Amino acid sequence: MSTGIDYTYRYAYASSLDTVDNGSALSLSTSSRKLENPYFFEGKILQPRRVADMLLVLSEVVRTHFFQPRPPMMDPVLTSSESILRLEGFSGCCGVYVRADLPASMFEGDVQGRGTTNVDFNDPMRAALTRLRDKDHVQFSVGKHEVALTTGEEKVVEKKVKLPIRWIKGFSEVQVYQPGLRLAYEIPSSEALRFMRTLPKSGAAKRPSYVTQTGKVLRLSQRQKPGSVHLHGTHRIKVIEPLLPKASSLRIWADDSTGTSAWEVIYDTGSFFLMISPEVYRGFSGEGQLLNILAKGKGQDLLSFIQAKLNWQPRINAHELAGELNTTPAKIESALAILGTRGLAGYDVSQGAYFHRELPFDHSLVEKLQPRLKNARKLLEEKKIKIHKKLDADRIDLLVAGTGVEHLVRLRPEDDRCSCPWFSKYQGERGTCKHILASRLFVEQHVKA
Amino acid sequence: METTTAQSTALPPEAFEKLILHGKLRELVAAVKPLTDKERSRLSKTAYTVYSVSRSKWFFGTDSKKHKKLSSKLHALNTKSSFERAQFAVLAVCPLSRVKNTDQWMFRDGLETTLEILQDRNPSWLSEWVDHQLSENDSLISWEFTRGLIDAGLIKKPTHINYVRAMVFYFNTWYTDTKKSPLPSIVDRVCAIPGAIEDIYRIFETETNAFSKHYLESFSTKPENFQTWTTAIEILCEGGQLDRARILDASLKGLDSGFSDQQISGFIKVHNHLKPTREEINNRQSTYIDLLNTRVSRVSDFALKKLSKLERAKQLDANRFLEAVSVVTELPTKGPVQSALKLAKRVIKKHPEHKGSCYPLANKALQHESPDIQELASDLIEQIIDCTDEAQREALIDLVPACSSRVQTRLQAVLNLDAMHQNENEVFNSADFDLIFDRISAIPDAFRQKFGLNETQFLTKYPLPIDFDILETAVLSNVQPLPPIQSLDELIDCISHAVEVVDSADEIERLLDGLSRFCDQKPEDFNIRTAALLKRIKEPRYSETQKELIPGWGRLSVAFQDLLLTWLTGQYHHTPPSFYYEDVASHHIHINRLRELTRRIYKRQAAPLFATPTHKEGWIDPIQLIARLRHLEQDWKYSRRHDLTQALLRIAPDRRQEALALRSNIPAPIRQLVCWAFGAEEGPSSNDRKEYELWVAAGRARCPKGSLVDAYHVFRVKDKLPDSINAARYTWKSTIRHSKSDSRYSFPEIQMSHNQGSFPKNETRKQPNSFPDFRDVQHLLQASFKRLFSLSSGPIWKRIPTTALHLYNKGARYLPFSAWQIQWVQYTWPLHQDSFLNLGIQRIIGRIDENTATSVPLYSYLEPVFHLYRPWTEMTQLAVWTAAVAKDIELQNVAIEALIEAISDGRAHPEPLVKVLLKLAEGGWIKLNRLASALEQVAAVSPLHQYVICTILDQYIAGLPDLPKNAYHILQLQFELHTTLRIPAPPETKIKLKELKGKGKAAQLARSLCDYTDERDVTAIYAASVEGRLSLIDSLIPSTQA
Repeated sequence: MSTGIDYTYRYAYASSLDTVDNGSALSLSTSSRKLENPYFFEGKILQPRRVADMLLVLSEVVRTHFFQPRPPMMDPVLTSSESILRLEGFSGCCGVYVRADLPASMFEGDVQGRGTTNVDFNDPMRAALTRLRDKDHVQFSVGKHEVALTTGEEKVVEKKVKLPIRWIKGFSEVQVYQPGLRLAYEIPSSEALRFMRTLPKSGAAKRPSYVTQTGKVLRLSQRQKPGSVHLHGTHRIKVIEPLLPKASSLRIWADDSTGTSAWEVIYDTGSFFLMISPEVYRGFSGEGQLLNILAKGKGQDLLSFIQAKLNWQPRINAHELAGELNTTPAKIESALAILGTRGLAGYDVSQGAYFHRELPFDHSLVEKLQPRLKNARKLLEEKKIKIHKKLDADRIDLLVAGTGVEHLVRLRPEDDRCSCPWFSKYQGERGTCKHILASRLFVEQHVKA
Repeated sequence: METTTAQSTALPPEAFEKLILHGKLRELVAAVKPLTDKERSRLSKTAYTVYSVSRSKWFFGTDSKKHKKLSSKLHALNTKSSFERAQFAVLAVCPLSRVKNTDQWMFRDGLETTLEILQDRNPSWLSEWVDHQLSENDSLISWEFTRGLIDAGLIKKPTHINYVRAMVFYFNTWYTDTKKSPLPSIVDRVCAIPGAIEDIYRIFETETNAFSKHYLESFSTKPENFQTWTTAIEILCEGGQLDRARILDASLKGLDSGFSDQQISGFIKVHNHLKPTREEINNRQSTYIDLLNTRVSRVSDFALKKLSKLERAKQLDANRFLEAVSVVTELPTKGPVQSALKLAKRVIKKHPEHKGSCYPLANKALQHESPDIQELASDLIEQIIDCTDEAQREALIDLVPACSSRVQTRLQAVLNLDAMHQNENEVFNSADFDLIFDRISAIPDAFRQKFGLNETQFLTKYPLPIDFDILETAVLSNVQPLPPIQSLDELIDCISHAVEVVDSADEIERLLDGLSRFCDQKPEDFNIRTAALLKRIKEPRYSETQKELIPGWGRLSVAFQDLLLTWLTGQYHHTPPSFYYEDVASHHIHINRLRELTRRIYKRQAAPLFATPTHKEGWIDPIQLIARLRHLEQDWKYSRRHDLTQALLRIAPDRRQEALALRSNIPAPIRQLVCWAFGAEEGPSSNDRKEYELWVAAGRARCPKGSLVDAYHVFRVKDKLPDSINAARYTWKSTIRHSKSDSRYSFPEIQMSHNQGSFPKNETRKQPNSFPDFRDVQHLLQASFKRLFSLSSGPIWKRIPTTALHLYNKGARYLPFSAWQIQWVQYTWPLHQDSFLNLGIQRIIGRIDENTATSVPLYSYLEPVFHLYRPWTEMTQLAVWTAAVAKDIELQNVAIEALIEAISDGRAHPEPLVKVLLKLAEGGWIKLNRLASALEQVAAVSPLHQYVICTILDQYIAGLPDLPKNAYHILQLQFELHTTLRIPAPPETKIKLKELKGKGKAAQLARSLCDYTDERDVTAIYAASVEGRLSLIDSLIPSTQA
């Protein structure tokens, strides 16, 4: 199976930071699958240094592969609405998700459109960003009005990349994790900076560490304690260190069941969110948490109704939608989770709510290219599943043909189990195996029907 | 435009083929020279076919199936020559697509011929082809060749960056072979090539290796005229061939390019070598100021040096500089920040009107992590404080608590801060005193003394070291129960998981117990349920991590495999010991238990295991043990011997008297033995001699550290082995062993000996792990002979687990053990862990200067030091110190963690800790930077930790015979701790510190420490220590909680 798809970022011009009469002009070039070169924003940045820092760290993550030397050249994704500009990205290894939230109060200007687009991040622009200062007068634009007329002398920029499928999958998978995060600590930026500086620079540690608080002091411990935060690959969070001197606080979010953590730099306006996978060598893409959602299919019935209601809201109110659709907020949340897996919604942990955005990639690929789901369907097609024992309607044992042996799958309302090595090793922590997925599909098709 | 010849002579393909195969290269070039484009096109197929076929023949020795005739012709010819001519033929007649596909390595060697062919042909695609060649990673096109094409007017100068790289490579080539005439220097070669000068400016726009260290630089045999690029550029500037101003500007522009460190250093070097005049520097002042913003330490440092020169010449634009400089504080290194602060100080001294502009720099520098930078920042604040407004002062006050203590003291004076900003931990009131006093009074006298809480010294000095006996504590209330496996399905799941990854030794014990209890259950679909597991066990996958149960390393893994196969197949499996595996003494008890269980499973004797811990950390509740013992079989001496031995060694100290009250429930054959372990009076009789190892285990459960010699005199044995009937007493010495073969190599060692006997020499020698030799065969025969006549099998220590734990094989240093295997060894005798810690110490010292390795999880050896119910013995302290100074970062972190926890609860006390540390230092191998780094992390936790570490360092320095040169590592920390705690160094430490003379960093710190006289009340710290101990007592002796 191919590990990537050929993708071309086609920008009408290169993003740049240029000197203009009264200061500088930061212009982000856009490229989208649906709209060719969308035009989203025009205005002035009120705190240029801060915005520059956030963009630099974001681009640093997107350009970095945290355990291999070769970084893929991906560009971030920008979502625009009246109240906020969000830039999202993924590291090359798919183990770090990053999002910069730039609320309208950070700018003076007008949003020209709603939507999601890729934005061009290139080396000259990055180098120029490092030189910005807060007192500088910086014009900011995302896209350009009537590109065709104004770009007579500008060169169209095409970046042909092998877009890894796991990169797209990671975008979906990360939305499944975020609702499960709990706020572990919130510390002032000075303490956060001190803590960051105590972290080893190399990410070579073989074992995970645990961030724990003793008194007011945050420290890295080798022992798991109640409330401590699992952390593997300290170099992955050190990237936010440059943001801390100007921040007001750092929030640390954790998901104890999976070992995922998120690090949110809070400013008086705006925030920067960085989420890391449980281990350096584990990208979000391979976790398979969304397979459960895709396989079980809860909330599918509401999808079309909710999709009709989506209009680039920066915060989707599940209660309001539940009222409008005459259902429960929990069902709305389930349906939004599915939309999240399809790239149609992101999750904002601080708000505890989803926001609408449509990733500028063909997201139907995600479901099609899930290898485990694909293999499960193949098992079904090849009729390699049979019922071993039916205890009752919800408790069924099945035999699924494996390599040289038949695996016993036990479907239970509380917890499905399989005798295959994958499931035995991870115990469902990294998603269900193909045998359980196939059995679930088999039961849906043959037994329940 | 392609060349066309007026009078062309057509060349038939057959003749062309003949020419390629048989002709000479010159003939070929001459033959194609007059051809028109059309004529060349007609020959393209022929040329490419000959090229492909000869290439296959030359490279791979294969014949073409399609062109058999051509292949057969090549048989009789020199294939290499034909292939070479074919390459030139392709270049001469084929279109670009085919030329791109050829290997072209001949073009490099046959440079003149290549140029001639291309000149004759002058194809329109030549520039495209050169660009394509340059863009290839393994491009074979040389700069010399490209220059040839440019000079011939065939192409324009390529814009590709590899053109510049190729140029650098070309000029970096030197001959070291004395037989060859030497190449001219870079300068001479550059000057000899027209147009080359202009290319040199591009070095500053491109990432190249021009400024990487050339391998010849350090060679004595390098050519006399050898030059680096830096020197060459300098000479060319001096000679006027290069424009000096342009190079100065280009090198500055390159500094903002984001290139590699080496390249940046090269640009700086070139710039400095040109020695720019003051005027030249002044003309570029704005560029230097802009460079402060690059966030590259090296660049900022360089720019600051130039700006400093301008400042001295009174030409610095102070306002612009001060506006821009604060960004330097964000750099990770200290150097540029220090330079910036010093320069800023000089600027405002000359231009006081700019003091206000210094505030951003002072503010940001005060937030720097380094106390040295904070110190410089406070100097600056002192100078500018009169120019700050209220808001700025408040912002500075907010930063004070995060500063180092010495800076805090200074800033309190500068900012007029009073006591309200002092550390709240210093406040200790009488109400707290009464509360603690009442709690101490409620503790029985005996415990009060053991926990160092003597009322007479209460809060007047740091409490005494703790010295309690594990047998007096409540262990089980401090550890979680271990739930047994409930069903056959759960057992299969647990084993399937363990086969992939073992989470802990607890899991191993649970599944062994499960196997023992459910081995008689074989439902109809048993084979279906276990088919996948059986396949996995029969086809184990190789693993280096040892996290899996199978395939693990060595005899333990084999025993597990036999056990599981016996259970799954119903057939008895026993793999004889292999000589390929090292004999690990500490695994014997587990292997014996596995073998014992395998026999019982084969017979389907389902019953709970005696030795399975009822609680985590390897403990068995005595009451639950009695309940299990009712399952004792008649053949227990054969089927339960090792299980019972292990069970006795795991009896928890709790509820032993209650268990004795239930003695009637214990089966008669072992009643006396088990009751003796619980603490009953009646010991063994001479008839019990056959169960010697069981009685030793019972004795070690009864009194882990005491002597059993008197109680066991009835056995009349001469057993002097450690932790058999004599408790082990350790003596150790830290030393360095020098390599016998090469005295340059030395290895830190901790020589450990037991004053109670030792192993026979032949038992401690390293067992072979490759092929059996004569002695091993003899050993095997002896063992078989003994078994045949029912004599004792193997040496006695193999049957006494507490003794086997002392047998450390140095060859085991690199053996892979997983964390669960180490933990399982630890569970052998949870009552007394010195022997286990000794094993750990030996492995740690063997890898003291080695990095973390996944296959050697040394941190697992420190697990017992975290158990609250264990006092810190000398071995504990030795293990922790050894780990704290190890290179293995994960191990060091665990040692730091252990110190933090044990200082909080009082188990770690500065006095015994420093004694062990001083003794360890006698070896002379402790790296003080590692020690200081570990202690700094411990001290960061609380004032109590600061105080303990400060005391340790004071006593350590006072106790050292001589202070080493690199003592500044610890003196820096010590000074910081004294100023933070505001206590002076004790007199004996000051005496030692005064021995340090000179102007070095260590001597300066020593003087500062001696001069520091601030002294404050540390009662609050004593109280924190007492409170930690009270919490410990509450955990260990629940009756005191009231």
